[in-house]
Amino acid sequence: MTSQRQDLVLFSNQSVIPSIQDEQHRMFLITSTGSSGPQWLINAFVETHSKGSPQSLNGASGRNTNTNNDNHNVMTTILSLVHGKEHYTSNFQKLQINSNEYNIVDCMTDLVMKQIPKYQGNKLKLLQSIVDQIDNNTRQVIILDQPEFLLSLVAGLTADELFNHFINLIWRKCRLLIINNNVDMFQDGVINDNVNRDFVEFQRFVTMCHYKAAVILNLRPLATGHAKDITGTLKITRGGVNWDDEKSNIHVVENEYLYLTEKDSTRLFYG
Amino acid sequence: MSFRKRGEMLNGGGPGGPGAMRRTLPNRGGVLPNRGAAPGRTSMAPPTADNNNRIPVRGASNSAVSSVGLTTGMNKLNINSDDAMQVDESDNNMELLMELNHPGVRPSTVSANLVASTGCFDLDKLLSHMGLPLGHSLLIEEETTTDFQSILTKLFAVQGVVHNRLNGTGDAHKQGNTHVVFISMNQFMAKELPGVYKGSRKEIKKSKIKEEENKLSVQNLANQESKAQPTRYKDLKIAWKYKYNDESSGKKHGLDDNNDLTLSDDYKDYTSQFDITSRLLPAATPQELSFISPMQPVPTILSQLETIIKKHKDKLIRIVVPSFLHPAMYPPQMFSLPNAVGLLHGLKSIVKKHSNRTVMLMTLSKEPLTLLLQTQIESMFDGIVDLEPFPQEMLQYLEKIYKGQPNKVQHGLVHLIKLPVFSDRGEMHHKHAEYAFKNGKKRFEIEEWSIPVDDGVDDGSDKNKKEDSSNPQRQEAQKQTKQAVDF
Repeated sequence: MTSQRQDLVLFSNQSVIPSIQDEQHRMFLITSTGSSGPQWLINAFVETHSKGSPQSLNGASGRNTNTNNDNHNVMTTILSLVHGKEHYTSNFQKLQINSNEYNIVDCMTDLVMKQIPKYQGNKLKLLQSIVDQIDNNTRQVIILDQPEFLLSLVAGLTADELFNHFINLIWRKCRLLIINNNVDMFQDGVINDNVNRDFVEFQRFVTMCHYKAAVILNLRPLATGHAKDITGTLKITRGGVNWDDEKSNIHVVENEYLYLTEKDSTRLFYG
Repeated sequence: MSFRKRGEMLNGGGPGGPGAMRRTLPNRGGVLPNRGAAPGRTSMAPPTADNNNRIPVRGASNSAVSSVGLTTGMNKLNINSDDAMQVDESDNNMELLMELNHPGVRPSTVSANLVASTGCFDLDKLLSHMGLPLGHSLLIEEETTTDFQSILTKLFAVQGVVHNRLNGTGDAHKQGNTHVVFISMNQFMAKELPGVYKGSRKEIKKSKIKEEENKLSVQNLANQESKAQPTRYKDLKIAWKYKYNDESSGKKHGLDDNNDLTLSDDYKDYTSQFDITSRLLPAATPQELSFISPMQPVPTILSQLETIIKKHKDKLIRIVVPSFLHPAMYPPQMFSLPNAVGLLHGLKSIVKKHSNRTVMLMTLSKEPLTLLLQTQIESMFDGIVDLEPFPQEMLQYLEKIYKGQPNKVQHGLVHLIKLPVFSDRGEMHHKHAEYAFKNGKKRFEIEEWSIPVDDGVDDGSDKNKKEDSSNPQRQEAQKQTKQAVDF
């Protein structure tokens, strides 16, 4: 296959996370599936925020990407419902990111055993207790890994409650919120025969994220299954909210890459 | 194998000596007939000084491991010293010691993880790591109402019990190295675990003869000189030149890969072969196997599991969740998202918390589940394998093609959806319909799948040809026709 290796670019000024001049809060949405995990993309965002560019992508290049060094001494916070602290720590250690440049809020360990029984019957207080674990720093970037799991874990929680009492509160604590949603159940246009209340709530939550996001990064596995040279496709599209930053005058560049992830490294290609 | 060497091992290996870790099951009579007694196989060689030097973590005595092996283990596990300090030091040491000496734990062939066997050699191989990495979970799904998943559940559990009994003493049941935890109502499973495969009738007879020959007697000692030479030099005068003998013995045990063959010497007790038509004797005891009822509230189930894990501090814990959400075994309220996903989220949390010494296997029938519940369950697992049994028509087709060779008939397809460690990194290992499985008395085999060719038409034409050649009148008529055409 003849293909041209490319660097990850989301905006017209060749950047991944542009320097935000105004006081607005923005959101990126990653949609992924079980077989095309987004860990490499989360790593790339953390790396971009701490080092200025996603240096681990495409080997040691990142040369064409516009580096943004305004973010030194600004934390990246990762809140995950599916992975423990060790998972992210080992990943970031491999990328040589200092441990004081990120903060991990582990919502997987003991959530079901301790936290949920503690706030039995008061779901909003439970959400507030999780939000309180995140520091207040409006310059920081927060990454939420599969927050939709709270719809499964907390009995009677609706998509509106999750968005208003969890996502919005976290969003106010940062300038950029990156949400990763698992969209396995919506793949390939599967129409579910058993559309029940739970399914509708999930659908509503994912749809709300699409409307509120400025950039949508869709990871899809290769339809034909495992291959040695391609893992899947990364499609970058504009979300429901415009990136209207008048000072910098930039816009989202819609694009589609092929990518290959193997042995802790990821390479992007044009198809 | 030299009988003199065996004698040396028995004499030299004291109760806590170098040979202690290599003891076999008491009910196997000291030797597995289908493994160690195979001609040309070197894996039963006693742990000599050379072996100990080569694999210090396996054959070394406990004192040596505590000083040297621990640092090796730290390096091997890639544990950051700062992180390690956060964990209780004594508990960590116990866990590391257990890992370094455990016969059912070995390094992954493709990553820096330690892995435990699933009890099925082919499944271990399919997972790429030669087992399930510690601190990871595996989901086995089945698409129809068949019950092949239960075989894998039993193999996973019984492998733990067999490892637990490897010390060979009566105390092994109490002070073993592995504990199996079932989250299930079906307590009869403890009695249904399959026994270790002891070989065919011929092999059992041969092993008995060899046992007799093993016993110390004047006649046996006199014959030792001649028997010390491998039998292949006498029996196989041509084949040995092509290393046929060694290779065939390796293949017999499913170890045809060169790397695996060399590793198998070091990890000979890692995976056992089981006979699913037999039962494990003596049956697993409560010291080896615990049951937790899924009828209780989720926090109670999780706290009971954590108590068991803490109680068996220096053991490998194998958590088994057979037939999750089976309508006969789970109450209706368990099918709600908060309960079903909550239980799995809690189990994952516990497995990750004790990632140095726990592995989890769960089986699931996809029939009664909604798509949402299924995807949420799948998100909780590090590895997913899907079994799709063939419909009746396909089985009949395969039986027709493999007429006279019923052992070749596959029973269904194996789809690989997620691989532990790799899928977490973002690698895609979705392999649909690339493998097939067949369940036999001796093994649950997984092999590459290709649709067999039905050569029934060719057979028919061959038959016609034969009939033509056997019929002189028809030959005569054909000749005449040919002459007429020539004219």
